[in-house]
Amino acid sequence: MKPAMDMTARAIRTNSSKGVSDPLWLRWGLIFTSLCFIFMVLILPLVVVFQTAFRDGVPNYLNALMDPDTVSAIKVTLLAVVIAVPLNIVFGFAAAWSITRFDFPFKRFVLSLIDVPFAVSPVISGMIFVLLFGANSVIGGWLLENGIKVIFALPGIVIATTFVTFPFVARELIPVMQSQGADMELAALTLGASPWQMLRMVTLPNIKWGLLYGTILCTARAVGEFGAVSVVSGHIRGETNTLPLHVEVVYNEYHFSAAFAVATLLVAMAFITLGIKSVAEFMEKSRASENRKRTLEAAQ
Amino acid sequence: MKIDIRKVSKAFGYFPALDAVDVTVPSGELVALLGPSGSGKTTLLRVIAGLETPETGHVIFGETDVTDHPVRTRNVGFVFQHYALFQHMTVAQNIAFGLRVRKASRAETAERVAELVSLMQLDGLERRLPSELSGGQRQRVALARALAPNPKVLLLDEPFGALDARVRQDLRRWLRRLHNDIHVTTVFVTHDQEEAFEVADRVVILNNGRVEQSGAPDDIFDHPANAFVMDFVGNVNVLDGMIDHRGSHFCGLTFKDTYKADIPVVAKAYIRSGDIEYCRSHDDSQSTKGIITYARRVGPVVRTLFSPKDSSDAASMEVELSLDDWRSKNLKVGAEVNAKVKRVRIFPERGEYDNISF
Repeated sequence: MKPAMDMTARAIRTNSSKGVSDPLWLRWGLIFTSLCFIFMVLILPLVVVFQTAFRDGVPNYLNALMDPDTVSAIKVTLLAVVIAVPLNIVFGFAAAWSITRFDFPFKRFVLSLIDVPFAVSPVISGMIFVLLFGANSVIGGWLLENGIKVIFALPGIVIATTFVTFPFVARELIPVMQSQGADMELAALTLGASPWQMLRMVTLPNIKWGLLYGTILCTARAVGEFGAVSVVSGHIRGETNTLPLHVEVVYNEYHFSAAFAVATLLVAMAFITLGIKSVAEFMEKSRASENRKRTLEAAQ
Repeated sequence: MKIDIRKVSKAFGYFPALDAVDVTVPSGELVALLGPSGSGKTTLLRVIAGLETPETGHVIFGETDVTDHPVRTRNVGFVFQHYALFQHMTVAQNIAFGLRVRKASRAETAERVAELVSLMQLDGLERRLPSELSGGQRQRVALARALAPNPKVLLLDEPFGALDARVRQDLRRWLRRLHNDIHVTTVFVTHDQEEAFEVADRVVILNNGRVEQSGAPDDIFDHPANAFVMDFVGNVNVLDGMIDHRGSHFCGLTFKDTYKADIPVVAKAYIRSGDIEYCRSHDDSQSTKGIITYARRVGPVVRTLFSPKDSSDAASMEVELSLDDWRSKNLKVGAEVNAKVKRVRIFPERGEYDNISF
């Protein structure tokens, strides 16, 4: 009886240790593979970007950045971001709110509609807007008569950017708001809060990290968007070129180092967004650990 | 503040959650809405709070019809089943919320929070977040938060549902004492009949969106209005049988001194498990021979199953007796004994008969 029990115990032990940790070769194999992949598709290209940008020396690099067309491209890009991102925060919040708080017919259908900008190729969506708002369309014709140019102008760029980046905020908020449920908000209402007080004091503080993360992703994509904007902007230098489009234009003119110099701006923006994201995550973590500390103090 | 529910109906799709419900909650009383899941009890509570809108009927607080008043102006304290504490606020901030949104002064708020913290025995926890509290503490914070703005009525949705048995016991008595102190009209929802009977002044029993019975706990227990209530509020054996010209017959039990019918009627007998007694001698008509097939001691009582000998089917009855009784009568599983029925309630297929005690 006793040896049999020992055997079972040993069998369980070996089984569990096998279950918990994989063999050494597999662990290192996986780590090595993923590191290789990251090096090839992320680090190497980044190195090439910076190397090419500075190939003709720092003065040329600065010249490329100071070029009036580059400055104009920066302005157009930032303007599109500053309009499109707030719009998408509002849209995304409204969509997440109605999907998680209300019951309405075709809810699942609406939920999948939100993903359309992800599913459709950006070039196609750009062309849709050209057909919709172009000079030959009914809406576009009417707008032109009233002096509003959409396609090959800033409004078109803003619309295309907004469309392409629409899902980010909603997609981040829906799971957060779904898991939290409506009870906290209802509790606020029973305690006498007005809808505005409820939103400000209960809803927003609880979704702020999801909202921030969605906004960061949305901004990153808005800055880098190429396809849809390329179709609607018309590539008018110094007028409707965004940064990614400007990189392409300069590159096609064989000014390689200038093209990559402008590209470093995009890289810098990506790093800034990543930085903000990390800081946000760090702050959330330190807030949590501070709470833990406080609990320990209170317990003592 | 008295609450009057008049002919309130509410359906979710085709499912009628409330069907012309009439309930009166007298001012200052503690009332339990008791019913199985899906009986409409939570919906009724939410209708009182204004979290659901009834399709027809009226909700009246005192003399005011509040049916069309939005939830925020009703001045109710609502304690959610899972407390719904504001996760990003400390205990003190949670309690202060109702005062903050009413723009109460800082000093007034601080004073009221301190008062509730001591009333709810939350001293020392003011700066903690809800995630750093135990279940019982969260429950008390939720109560404190609901009470802070001096609500006219206090509504609690399954207040002890998410707690373990021991904490539940304590909190139940504590809630009863609290209510004796503050006397705010209180309605709470529960599916646990023991909880309802221990805490409430009045119990309203709901089933399928209708009120089956409402009254004082003793009243409901001693005079259940119908078979559902009888079944729901106690451990009941339901026996199939019939009434004929000699008396009523159920699984080998014959009740001669009860009702008689010239034309036999199908009937059901409801016998509480505590209303059956084991005895050695076969002395009267209300007892039957049989075997104890199962016995389990649960604290001070013994729960047994009894199989009547004469019954054609394998019907068995639950019998509960005190441990002392079990020991002094020297009973054990497999023993052949007589079961004597002390009290029975007979429900014929149509109509009903009152309690019969022997």
